[in-house]
Amino acid sequence: MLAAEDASADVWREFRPRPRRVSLFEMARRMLWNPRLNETLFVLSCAERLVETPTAHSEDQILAGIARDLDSSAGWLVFRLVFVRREGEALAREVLFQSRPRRLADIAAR
Amino acid sequence: MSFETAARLTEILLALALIQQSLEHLAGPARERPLFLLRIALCVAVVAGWAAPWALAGLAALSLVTLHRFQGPYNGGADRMGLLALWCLTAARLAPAPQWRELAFGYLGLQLMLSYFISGWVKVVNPDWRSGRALRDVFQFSAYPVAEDLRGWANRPGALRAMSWAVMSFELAFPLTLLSLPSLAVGLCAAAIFHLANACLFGLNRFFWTWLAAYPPILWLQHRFF
Repeated sequence: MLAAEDASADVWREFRPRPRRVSLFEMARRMLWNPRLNETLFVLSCAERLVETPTAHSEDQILAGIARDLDSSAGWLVFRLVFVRREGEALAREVLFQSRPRRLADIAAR
Repeated sequence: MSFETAARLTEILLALALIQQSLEHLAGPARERPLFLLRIALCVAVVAGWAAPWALAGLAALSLVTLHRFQGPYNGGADRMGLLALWCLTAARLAPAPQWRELAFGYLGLQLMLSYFISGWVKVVNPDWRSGRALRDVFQFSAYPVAEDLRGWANRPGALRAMSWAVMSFELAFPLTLLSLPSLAVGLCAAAIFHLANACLFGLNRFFWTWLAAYPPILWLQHRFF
């Protein structure tokens, strides 16, 4: 999140990091009720679409998904897509997309 | 299994799968709720047998609106199979002659068989799948594992190679299960366990319910031709 449109983005937060562990009960519950993870998977597919064939729809959906997790509607939101791939035995990370800052109040999240 | 029993069972299972998905969408953005409330109402009509086959046709029409809303499938392969099942079933109900109805319904069964076989073929021609490396990558750094603890599986290359070959062997051998009803029943149980494992490890719960809905057509197809 940015305080102003022209502020520099120095600190990035991971989108919905996975929990350390998930119990068997929780796995069973998610067979019938799993909206959050399914929305996360949709945001991931929008990220893949954005890199392959950029559209405003994909960018808007990702921004909306992130904004839904935020309590505040003040400030500006910017996201970047970091793709991980294997190179030999090492993992390489590459930023393939960075959105332009968008005012949180303008994002149709809810 | 008769055509009518299989088609009715598919309708009910698919409508229940769509209700489950729609309820999840109701927890999402408010602007999507009317679309999914309408879908739930149509699914209830399908399960109850009201306004047949128009409730099913309504669901098929609504699927186009949903595709437009998300600019494609919301949930990848699960949505694609759900759409295929919905459109085949609608065609099977609306087609004017029995042979066209059977063709549409049988096509769904055939696609179910191919969904496993082609998936197995794509894997077996990939050296990374044959060595277990692809599955290792999935656990090590893909976005799919539901918990960080599961990434520890990436450090078990022997187990992952065995799992890769078990999955590939099952998928490639699946067409042979059509030779008899008992072998098909065993194959479908194994497939359901495979989808259940994917749902638990990677959160792909929609795949489980959607593929389950497409089992009656292949059971009917087996009965019809073997």
